[in-house]
Amino acid sequence: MDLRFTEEQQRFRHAVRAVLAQDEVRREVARVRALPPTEEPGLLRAYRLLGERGWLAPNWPVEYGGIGATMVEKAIVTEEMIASGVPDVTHTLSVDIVGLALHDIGSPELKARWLPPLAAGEAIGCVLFSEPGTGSDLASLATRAERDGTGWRLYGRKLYGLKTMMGDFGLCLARTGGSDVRYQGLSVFVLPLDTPGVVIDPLWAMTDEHFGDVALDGPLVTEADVLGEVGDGWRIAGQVLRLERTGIELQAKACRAVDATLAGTPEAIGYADRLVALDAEARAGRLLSWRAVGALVDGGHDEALYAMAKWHTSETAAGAARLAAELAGPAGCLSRRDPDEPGGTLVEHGYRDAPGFTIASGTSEMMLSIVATALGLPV
Amino acid sequence: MRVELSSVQQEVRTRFAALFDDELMSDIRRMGESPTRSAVDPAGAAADARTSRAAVWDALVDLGATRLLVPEKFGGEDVGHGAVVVLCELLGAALYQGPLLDTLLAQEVLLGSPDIEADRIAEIAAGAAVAVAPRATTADVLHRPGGPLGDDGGALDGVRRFVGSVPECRYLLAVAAHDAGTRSALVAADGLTVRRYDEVTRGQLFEVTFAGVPVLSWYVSGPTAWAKLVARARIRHAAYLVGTAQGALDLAVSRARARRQFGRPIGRFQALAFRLAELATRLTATRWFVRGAAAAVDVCADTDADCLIRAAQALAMASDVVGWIVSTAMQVHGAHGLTEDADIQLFHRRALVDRIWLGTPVELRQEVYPMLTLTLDNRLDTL
Repeated sequence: MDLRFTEEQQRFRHAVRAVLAQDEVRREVARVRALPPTEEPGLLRAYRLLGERGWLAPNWPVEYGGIGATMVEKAIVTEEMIASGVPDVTHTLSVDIVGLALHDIGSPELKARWLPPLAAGEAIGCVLFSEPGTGSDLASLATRAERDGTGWRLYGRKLYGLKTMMGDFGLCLARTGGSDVRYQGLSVFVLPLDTPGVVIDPLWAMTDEHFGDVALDGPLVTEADVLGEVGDGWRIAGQVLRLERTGIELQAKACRAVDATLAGTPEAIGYADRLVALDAEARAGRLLSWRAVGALVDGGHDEALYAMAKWHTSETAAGAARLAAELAGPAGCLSRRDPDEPGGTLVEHGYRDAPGFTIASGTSEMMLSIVATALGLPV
Repeated sequence: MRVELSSVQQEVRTRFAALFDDELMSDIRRMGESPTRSAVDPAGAAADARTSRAAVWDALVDLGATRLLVPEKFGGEDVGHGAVVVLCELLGAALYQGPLLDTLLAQEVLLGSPDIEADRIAEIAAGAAVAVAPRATTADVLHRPGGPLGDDGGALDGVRRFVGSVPECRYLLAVAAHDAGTRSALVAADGLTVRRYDEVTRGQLFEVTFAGVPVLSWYVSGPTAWAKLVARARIRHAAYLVGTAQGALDLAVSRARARRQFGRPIGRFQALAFRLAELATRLTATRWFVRGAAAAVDVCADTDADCLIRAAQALAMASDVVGWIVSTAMQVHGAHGLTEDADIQLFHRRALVDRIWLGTPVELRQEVYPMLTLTLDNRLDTL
């Protein structure tokens, strides 16, 4: 066990930190953290600055806009981004989840088309899995793909996809048929969101990031837009979701909230017990996340580890956000738009974000179900 | 950066795992206990337990447990705490009761002394066990030891309470608060007046009375050095508790899989499965946190507050998690868990003592809170 990063990794971390400390990034962060409620942060200058250096997706090959490094460097970028307050959802979604799925599973054509703009911070990829009647029980989805010549037309409705209103494309899970077994006959399509037949309405949320209500009224996609093989969608969807479950961004948010709370309220001695315990949980979650990152680097498929990492980091991050809000007193309820907001804190933002941590990318209950199954207690 | 066992850690685990296999586990878990009320031959059972304890100690020594922390120049292996905690986890799962953890602490006291007693260090590394005795009153604990025994002359007078495994030890290290920090006196254990407590674990806990007991050696530790010794003891004990928690969780999961009610294993009900899954997750996080604290203490400077914080946090976290797991495991076992046949009741009884042995979780966290608020810079630079 070695808790130290290599000198090269440390240099990389500090270089990323320096980019994110630039004045223009700080100004942009201050601006987007105080956006009006009907706007949301999208492709930030901070992303482009990292993208220019190949650091937004450093684990991708140079030809796709990375620097050919590993998931370790990728996770370092995520940690630094969150520590410096840069909104990370667009990046996590586009690079960590959608981009990595394309990178691992996509055809050379799909990769060549989509990965470079993602790595440059110039495109957004989304996930179109959930539906009005489909959340945790993904195999119940109703969206169907119908043959049209050599391509497919998609029909259905997708909800709760983040960033769809400003997204460039989405990974759309649809039923291509061929089997009565509900886990079979599913396929994933890479759907450009400007395709005729895609209609996106906002689904306003209490968070800074909003959902889309995506109606699919027969947009045409081609064979080349299929991610992996037709009929292999269940396995691919599982893989995409697993990529979300190292918890690296969640532990980073937990650590940020705990550090800010400790620094901001050193006199809160009555809360000492809870704060020290929370700090330890945040750091333990960080170890679990980095263990999960290590497993990804090694090509491992330890489902229980990913589920544990996601459960632990999301529960801790949510708990940290709530405790930070409780400790901040009335000032903690002020948004960054309010002139009386004390400045520099993300307490109110974090409090609105917290419930989503244990829901997105697999609810806590689904994670416990996976862990229980690994214990030999399938429910 | 690797959050996984190193080759040294794996070697230590493999080396000692055979001693704690399933066949021996139940015996080891009971070897420190007074005979149960149902024993047909209590004297014979007590003799058997004594034999088991001696055999386990000999096996631990043969496998090198008492050499792990000793520098190579004194014939030790010097594998560091990162590897020692792996052994401690095994000890905890077996509810090992014996002098090893105290002996490791005593070794560190001796090794930290400016006047190195090479022969004594070698003798202890070769298997001379040491009991550590910091408590004069029930309010005392290793990081806040009791007052001096006697008048600071060459002999000890007075009482030390809640001392473990004294009859199995060759030496006893009486620890006391002192103007310069902490002063410890090494005495021969042979001939000490001991009284075995009648207590919840029915285990190896003793009151020791000193009456003019000659001191073999004195060791004075300044506050900083003692704090680091305490931190390392906390990490070892935290790892022991992690092992205890794993042992209890394994029993609970086995029971939940085997016990059927309403036509299916009780572990297939979400109420129970989710609770066990949550605890398994918390335990996994705690295990890596404790291992992380151990790895950190191997490389940190004496004045590094982060190591002290991590050690206290690790012990508090392990103490909490073992408490949750043991109480849940008792519930999973139902009435069967209350019987002497069930191993889980051993865990329940032992948890009361072991969880607070080196300080309560709340006390530990209160202690490090002021330090924590001062050490928040550059925390991302290392795990």
